[in-house]
Amino acid sequence: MSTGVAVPLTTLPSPRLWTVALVGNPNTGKTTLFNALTGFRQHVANYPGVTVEKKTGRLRAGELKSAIDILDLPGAYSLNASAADEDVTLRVLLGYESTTPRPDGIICVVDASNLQRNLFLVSQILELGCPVVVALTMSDVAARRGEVVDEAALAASLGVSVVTVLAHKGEGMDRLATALDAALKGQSNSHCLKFPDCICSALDHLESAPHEFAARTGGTAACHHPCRAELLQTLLNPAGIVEGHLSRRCDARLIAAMQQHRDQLRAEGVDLPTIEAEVRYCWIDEVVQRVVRKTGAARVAMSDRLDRVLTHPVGGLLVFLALMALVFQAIYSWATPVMDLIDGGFGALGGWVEGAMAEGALRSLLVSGVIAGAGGVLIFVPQIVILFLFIAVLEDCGYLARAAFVLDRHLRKLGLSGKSFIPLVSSFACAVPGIMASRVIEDRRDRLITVLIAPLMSCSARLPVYALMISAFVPARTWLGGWIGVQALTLLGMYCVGIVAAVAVAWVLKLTVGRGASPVFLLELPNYTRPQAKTVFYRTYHAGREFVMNAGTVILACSVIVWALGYYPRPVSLHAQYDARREAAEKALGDSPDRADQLAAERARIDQAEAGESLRQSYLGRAGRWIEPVVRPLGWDWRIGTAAIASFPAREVVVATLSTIFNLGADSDEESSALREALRSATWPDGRPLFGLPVALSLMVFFALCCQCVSTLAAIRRETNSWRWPVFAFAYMTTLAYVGALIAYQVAA
Amino acid sequence: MGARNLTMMKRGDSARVLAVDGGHPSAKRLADLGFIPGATVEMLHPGTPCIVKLAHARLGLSACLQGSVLLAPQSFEAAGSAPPQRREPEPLVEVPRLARA
Repeated sequence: MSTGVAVPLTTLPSPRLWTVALVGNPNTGKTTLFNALTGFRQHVANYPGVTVEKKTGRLRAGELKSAIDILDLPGAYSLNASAADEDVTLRVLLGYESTTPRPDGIICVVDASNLQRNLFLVSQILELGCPVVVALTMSDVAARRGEVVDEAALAASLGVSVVTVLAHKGEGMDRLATALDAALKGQSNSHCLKFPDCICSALDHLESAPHEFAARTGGTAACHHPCRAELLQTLLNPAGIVEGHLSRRCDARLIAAMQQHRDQLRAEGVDLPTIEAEVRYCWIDEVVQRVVRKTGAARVAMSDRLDRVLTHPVGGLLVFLALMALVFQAIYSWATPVMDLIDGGFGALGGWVEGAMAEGALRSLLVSGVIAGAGGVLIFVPQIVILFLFIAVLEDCGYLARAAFVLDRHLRKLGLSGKSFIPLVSSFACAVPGIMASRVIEDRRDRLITVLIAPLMSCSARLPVYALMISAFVPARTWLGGWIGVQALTLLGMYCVGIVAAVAVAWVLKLTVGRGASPVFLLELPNYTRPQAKTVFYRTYHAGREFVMNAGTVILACSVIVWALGYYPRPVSLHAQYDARREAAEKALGDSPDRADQLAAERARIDQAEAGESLRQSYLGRAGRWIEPVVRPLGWDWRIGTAAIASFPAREVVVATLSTIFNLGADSDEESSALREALRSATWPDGRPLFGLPVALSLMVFFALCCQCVSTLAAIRRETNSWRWPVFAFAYMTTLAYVGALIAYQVAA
Repeated sequence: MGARNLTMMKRGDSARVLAVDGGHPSAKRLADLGFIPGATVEMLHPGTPCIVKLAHARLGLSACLQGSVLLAPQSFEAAGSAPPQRREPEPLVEVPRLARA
């Protein structure tokens, strides 16, 4: 992609690849338009250093000769960025983003039903001197309200092409593509609003200043010459993104001159924060009067009536809780059949590989490392898809903004805002989609705290651990005719341990990592609309795809590493020793056919004993015995410690590891009564029973609080774009888990 | 009577913006969204956070933002005094002209 090369257009070889940015206010149908323009040819990535999605796609331009890449920029109300995503929009449009070339043209999405506010951004965009086409969306919503926006009059007022589009019906797409093509090949004339004279003269001076500096020092004007739009944004927005950029690239004297001009303007009585808005809205009012025609009486919007209930402090909360109950019910009940299918599929695949291959390292790698590891994670895909389906539907119809609004006052006490709730609630299913859902939070600090506490919500991977421990060691006593039981209360208690810890950690983080004013909550509540199937589908598809890709890379690699540590070294002497026992059994039982069952059972016992012994002597087992002094205060021996280490890729691995170590096949699951019996009868070397209620509690509390989940750490790494935060999350959660388990054991013992 | 702000509006009240407190860190953001002198706001849902209607947009605002939007006292229209049919926002003719000598 070659942009910014000053070659006359006529000499360019055709076809040329253009990059066009899609810009607009949030909730204007920008995503729907992007999907309609690009279809499946989308590529999602992250901007380096920030956690904002970068979506690009190739324009489906039927008869057009030029190839156009569409870059979907985060929604922004203004070029005066206030959130991380708006920041990206500004940086890309001004060409500050090193990995993204400055776009050749801009499609500005304008919501016809909210023309005033949308034209604010348009008037800023027009000053950038880049070819612009305006895509007018939501004209159907405006029409329902009795307003028609005159496309031609708007085009005349703005001096650029305006195309009315109904993206979900595909209307106006060809006209938009044609207008875009013409704009890219034509002349772009930057339009500039008339600002008060004092500001204009300040800008004039600042524009010529770099030349003056160069002339004075006798050198060349080598440093960056900011354009007028950049100067205006810097002048009126002290300490903004543009000023930060200019102070790195320009002569220091320019910034000093800027400050002088600001002081002078303030002295003249100019209100710097609001002057730009006053000038632009003054122009906008004239434009709106020219282009909006009233066709009928306005009706009371349905949205306002719905909002009476949905944003009510009590009613809204009840509706929200009911919806969440529905979502969780769906996640558990709809996903289960598919999850069982996937589980069965991987089980069958493992069994088939086991049968088809000779015993050896490769077979063990495939069965225990690859299939068990990746399969253990892919089983969660249905839950993730369902969760994201719901989030996409709720967001697209406009409800999510209301839920955030209702919950804001409650989360505010923790230093969070309403936008953190969806990620936290999602994390009860799985922290990975929860962390991914934190993208809806604009405030960087809120988002970071949310991402860091999300893994404390008890996810579905902790259930196997809880189920095993509770069924083996918690008495099944019930009261009130079986409605209240100790076992169920223990399970509930484990969920509460996570929530209480999350509240405490959020509060501590608020005071330390996220120092600052209480988060400002400024959220637009869009009109309720029917969710667009396409938008919902793309959201869900991308979330699912991302998760599968992750399972195929990071999680697979970790599973293989843990497998290798648990498999090697394999001393020949050990194998020979068990072979001798197998032979002895064969001799003793193999002669009579009626003892075949007994022989098979004996063989299985020897196999299990061999697996247990080789694990004991593996690197993982050695590490386990080495860390035993550390886990001893928790009431654990080396075997439990080893299981905890081996569960680093995913918490549920601990059940499989425990069962291997306690001389059972690695394939027994948490329902296995044999495993429960094995745990109950396990002893310390001096004969005392190893497990008991205190140990079970300490193990459960440990897993409730620990961060033994590579996918979560990978998700934190991806969302924060730094290794610092996953390391921090792992460190603080492990410390918390250790201390929690210690307290649980010492108190219960 | 001291300056009024958004926290003093009741459900259904409407008023005109006098100014945005320029010292507030979000002053520019509020102004860019349309909270400029002369703009009409309607309170849809009082409280913290509140929901106001500005032009055709519904905006949820937290407490500190509500306090920074100052309202012209004489422009206050209580919910009961409004005509029964819905009023369209009038063109903002009262925006101070910016020609400075």
